[in-house]
Amino acid sequence: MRDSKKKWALVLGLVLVLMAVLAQRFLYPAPRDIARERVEFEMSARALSEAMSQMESTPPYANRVVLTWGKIVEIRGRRIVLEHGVEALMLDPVENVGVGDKVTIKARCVGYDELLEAVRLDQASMVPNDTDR
Amino acid sequence: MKGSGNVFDIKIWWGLLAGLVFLGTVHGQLYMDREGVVVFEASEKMFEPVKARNGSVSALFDPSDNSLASLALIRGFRFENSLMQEHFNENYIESDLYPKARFKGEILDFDLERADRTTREYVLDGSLEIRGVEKEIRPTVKVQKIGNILSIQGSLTLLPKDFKIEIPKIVENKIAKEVVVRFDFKLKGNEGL
Repeated sequence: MRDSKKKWALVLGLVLVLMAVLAQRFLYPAPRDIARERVEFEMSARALSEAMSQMESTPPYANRVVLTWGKIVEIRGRRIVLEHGVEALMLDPVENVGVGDKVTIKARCVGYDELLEAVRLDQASMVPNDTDR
Repeated sequence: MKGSGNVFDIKIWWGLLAGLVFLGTVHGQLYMDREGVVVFEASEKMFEPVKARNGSVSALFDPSDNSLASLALIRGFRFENSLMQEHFNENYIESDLYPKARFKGEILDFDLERADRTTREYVLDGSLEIRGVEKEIRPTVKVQKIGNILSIQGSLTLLPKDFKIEIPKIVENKIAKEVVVRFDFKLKGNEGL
């Protein structure tokens, strides 16, 4: 009798732990990992800037993963500015690249800022340059 | 004939000088921030904090008429809880339809010549557009100038219903009725545009 009570208590405990874990995962899902997500579109900094500047609302690229490339015109802390006004906030400190270097960046496209005429990207990371681009 | 040619030349030089002065005014006196910070909070005691931060807000100040314009991309607001961030974008703000929040206004009675390290308070009078709805706001801002940097800080309280944002009954108790918005701009002068 005692043993069966113990068993039920154990099962109940396990079920409660399982429910707590599931609730935790549901309520606090892991944030997006852009560096690991699949690239949804690829285009040069110039093409990205032109496409984004022509869209006022419902931009098809916003919140999606973009691969873009171009020459660096400015580096400010963790921010890299590419030619044609593409600004990327990097995940990691910027190292081993400088102004004038051509880089390829994978990032989340946040949107177009018409006040300063800039495409904003965040959660950005460097990927190796493709010589065909 | 020769004399009229000289007069013509002088006019050209005056024209060029005036043009340069004008260009110098326009280019030299704009203040710009590409990394302005806007934080909003609608937390209720005892519940999980409802708070988000955007550190890539742009702001542009023109001392010639004391106008201040600012733009925040809604998708740039980051919450600690990614599910909360998703709900904010999909259900409350509908950021695919309304991807930007804009402000345009004027710092009343401000004089850049007087601005220095001392923090002074001014009224920022303008209109804020969120979800395509414009609302007049008049927050008090703290302004100081250190070297080439103009610092403008302030806060205001907004009501979601003013921007036609509906809070579902099921989460009504977890989200404050009033949303406190704080902004902090460090505008750099003489960058030109």
